[in-house]
Amino acid sequence: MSDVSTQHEAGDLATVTRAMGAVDPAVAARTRELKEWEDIAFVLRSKDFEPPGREGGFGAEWQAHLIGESLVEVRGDDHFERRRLESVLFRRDTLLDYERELVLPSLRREVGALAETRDADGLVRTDLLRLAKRVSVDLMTTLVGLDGIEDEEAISEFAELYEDLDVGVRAKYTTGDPGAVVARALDAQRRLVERHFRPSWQRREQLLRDGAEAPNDLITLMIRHPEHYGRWDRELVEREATLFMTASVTTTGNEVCHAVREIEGWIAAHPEDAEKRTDEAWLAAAFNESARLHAFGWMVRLAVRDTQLPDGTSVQQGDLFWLDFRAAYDELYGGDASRFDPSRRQTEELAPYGLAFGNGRHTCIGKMLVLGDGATGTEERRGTARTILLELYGQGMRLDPERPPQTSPGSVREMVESCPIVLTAL
Amino acid sequence: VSVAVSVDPQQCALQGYCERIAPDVFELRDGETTVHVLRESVDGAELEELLEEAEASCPTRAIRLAKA
Repeated sequence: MSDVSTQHEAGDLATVTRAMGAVDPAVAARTRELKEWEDIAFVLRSKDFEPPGREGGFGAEWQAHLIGESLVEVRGDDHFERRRLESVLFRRDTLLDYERELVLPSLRREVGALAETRDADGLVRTDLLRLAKRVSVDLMTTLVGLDGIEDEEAISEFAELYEDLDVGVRAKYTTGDPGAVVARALDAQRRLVERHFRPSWQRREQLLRDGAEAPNDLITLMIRHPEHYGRWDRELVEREATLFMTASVTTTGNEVCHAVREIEGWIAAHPEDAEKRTDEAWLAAAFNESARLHAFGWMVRLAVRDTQLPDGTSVQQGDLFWLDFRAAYDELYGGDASRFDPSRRQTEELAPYGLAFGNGRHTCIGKMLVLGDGATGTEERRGTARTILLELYGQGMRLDPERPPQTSPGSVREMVESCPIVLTAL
Repeated sequence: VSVAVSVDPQQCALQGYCERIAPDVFELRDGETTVHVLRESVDGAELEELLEEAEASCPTRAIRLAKA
């Protein structure tokens, strides 16, 4: 593990690919690097560019074993159709229910249990990553429709399999052997499918056959729409569920931990802002700024047809492009773009969270789940991240001074491995 | 119930999903950088349902609906 504060995720192709385990040097050599905001915004929004899938490029071929043709990879009309079908899981009222009926009660239950686990000095210590993931698992099982992950034994068994699965889904970011992490992940996926996915699927099929009401979740949706999901191989539904599982748990936990580390660092340097820890608008700005810095420093896109860049440069189908988000931030914000500043003056071109959720057709489907209705801190839906931050800062959350947060050395992304905290007001 | 419809120009990426779902309300126009809203206030349950679908289907979540 590495101390988080010693790391900074790079955005340029040369630095990142030196550390990537899944990169083919021949592919990297023929990849064009884009650093200007105009080009990056154009490529992300254009219908002529897609994330690379099974055809490969920077490890996407490894990821495809686990989430190939899922929402993050499906293209064109198929993407529109999938997005439209799955939108029922992300309606405004549904998101509000997730937040109020699932996330908050789950978090309060966990915090309540922690109150019984005081150390000898009377303080309550825990790990923020574990806590945020635990809360997100409750949300994820409801969203996907995985039954039987409720008691502590089942949750802990699930968490073990989930970790292997998650690392495999992010195989393109590994600094090690992508084949090995994908093999472990495929085994975890098979076991999760057998233990949870298939029984949950069969239960919902039976409910629908009986004319009973089935829950509004991904599995029910996929059963109801064989005309769409049946167009691919039988395992597509498992890969789609895998995407939802991994996207909704790890992202939230990782970004919340980074945000707390940045907030605490800021307050150490600006003690006059200490009371803003419970100011919702300030927390929203701080989370957005942290997400901009830590969620993605770069992305890869594949040209799916011949086209042109804004300056007229020709592009051939099959060309790969490396989008250096950090360079674009420097252009838009000036030289201090890589510094955390929750009071940063925003630009019209970019949301306060930057490209943390991507942009264009493949913007993260869970964006509003994490962010809520917006970025100002005044909206009805707070999103899971702000809900967790507000609740825990209300309990006097501070980083544990004895144990700094750690990130995984096995990833070119800044993936948090632990983030010990003290709840000083609990 | 009437619904006020707006589009966040910072988020809109002109993917046109909203136009395909609710063409009476949204329209892509050549040269414009944000989808054009044909009706800024909408009444009626059927259209409201389509608007909610368009809002949740928008890949960048650029559509804003406010019920009055």
